[in-house]
Amino acid sequence: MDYRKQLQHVKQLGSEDGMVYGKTNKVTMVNPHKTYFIAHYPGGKIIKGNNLFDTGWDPLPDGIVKLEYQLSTGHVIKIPRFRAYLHLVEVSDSLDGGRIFHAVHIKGMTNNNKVTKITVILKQDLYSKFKIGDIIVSEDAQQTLSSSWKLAAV
Amino acid sequence: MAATLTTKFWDGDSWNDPAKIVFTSPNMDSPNTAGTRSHVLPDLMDIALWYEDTSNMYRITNNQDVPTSIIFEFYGELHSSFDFAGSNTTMTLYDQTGATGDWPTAGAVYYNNANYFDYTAKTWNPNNIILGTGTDTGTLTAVSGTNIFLDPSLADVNFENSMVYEMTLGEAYNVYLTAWDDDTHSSTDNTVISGSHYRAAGCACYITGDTATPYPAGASTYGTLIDVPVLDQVLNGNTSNWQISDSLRYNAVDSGVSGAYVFFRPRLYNITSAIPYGVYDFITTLHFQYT
Repeated sequence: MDYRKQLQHVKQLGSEDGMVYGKTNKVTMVNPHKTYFIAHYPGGKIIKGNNLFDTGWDPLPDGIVKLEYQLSTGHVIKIPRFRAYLHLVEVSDSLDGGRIFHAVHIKGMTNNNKVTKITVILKQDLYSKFKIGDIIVSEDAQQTLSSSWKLAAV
Repeated sequence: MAATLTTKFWDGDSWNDPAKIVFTSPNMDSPNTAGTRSHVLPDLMDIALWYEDTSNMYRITNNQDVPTSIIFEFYGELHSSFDFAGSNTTMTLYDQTGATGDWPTAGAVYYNNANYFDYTAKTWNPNNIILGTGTDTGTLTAVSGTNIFLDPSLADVNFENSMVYEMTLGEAYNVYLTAWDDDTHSSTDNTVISGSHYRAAGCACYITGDTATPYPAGASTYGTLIDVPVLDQVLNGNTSNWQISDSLRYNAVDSGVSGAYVFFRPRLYNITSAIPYGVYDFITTLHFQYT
C-alpha cells in the first residue's frame, strides 16, 4: 500500500499532526503513523498497535485487561472495560487516492450483549464542533458482524 | 485488517487509474490531454462526462440525461431485468417470458397494482412488478444476494461507463459514497453539491468466476447483488449519500468469487441558467471503516 499517495494532500505532517488545506476550510488531523492502540494483558504484557494504515488489530490475541488509544497529539484515551472489543478506523478516500482519517470507533460489548461505541475524533476543522481527541459515547444499535472482535480477560 | 479498494475506469480498450471526474464540453476529441477544458454555459448546450487519469481524459457520455436502467439478466435463459421507473426508490422488474428464475427468497417481492410475483411458484405476471418492502414506492431492502448477470451492452450504467472500485483485501464496514468541496472532505460550500446537482447511479456486487480478468468489461459477467442499486442518488457530504453496504469483503479467488465491486456513473442534474457562471470543483469520496 502506498501510504505517501494517501497523504499526498497533507502538509506539515510532523511529529504531531498534519494540515489539509481546502478552499474555505482547513483540516488538522493526527499523524496516522504515530497513532495506535495499546492493549494490556495479564502479567503486565503490553502489545502496541502499528499505525492507522495497518493497525495490527486482527492478530491481537484475546484476553485484554485494559485498552488504551495513543494519539500523535499526545492524547491517551483510556477505554472502559468491556466483555469484548472491536476496533474500527473511519476514513474517506478520494478518487485520486487521498485519504482523510476521521475517527476511531471502539465498540465494546457489555455483559448483556449490548454494544457501546466510543468514538475518538482524529481531525478538526473550521466547521465541526469536535476537536482532535474528543470522545463521543453512544449506544450502537447497528450489529457489526466481524471476526475481529477481541474478548477481554475473564 | 486494513481494507484495500482500488479504483479504475474503462476507456474502451484498457483500465486506467482515475484522477478526476470532469464535466465539460462534449465537443472535443476523445481521448484528449488531461487538463483540457472547454467550458459550457449552463443550459445552452450539453455537458459531457469525462474520466481523467494523469495523462489523458476520456469522454464517457455526451450529455447528462438521467440513466434509465441498471440492467441485470438472471441466470439461465431468462431475459429479465431491473429497471428504474425514474426515481431512486422504485425499481421495477420486467419480464416478458413468464419463465422461472433464481429469485430472492421469500418476502423479497411484492405486488404492484394487478401485477405480482409468486415466489413460491416462481412465476409472475409480466411487467411492473415491484421488488421492495411494501408499497410501489417503498425502499428496496430485500434484493441482496440475488444472482445477477451483467451485460454492458444492455445497461445504461455498467462497468464500462462507470468508476469501478474493486476490493482486493480485507473487510470494509459502513461503506458509502459522497462528495465534498475539496481535499478536506469536510465542507459542501459549493453550488453544485449543496444544490443537489451532483448525483450518481450505481451498484455493488460480488463477481463470480473469471479470475483472469481483474475487472469485468467487454463481456457479460455473473455476479451477486450486495445491496440495492441506486439510479439518481444525490451526493452531498453528510447530508445525502449512497449507503452502499454495512459490510464489504474480499473473497478468495479460489472460492469462485473475486470482489466486492462497487461501480457508479456520476451525472449533473438540472444545470439550468439559474446556476451562476463559474468553475465548480468538487471531489467524490468513498467512506468506510476497517479494523
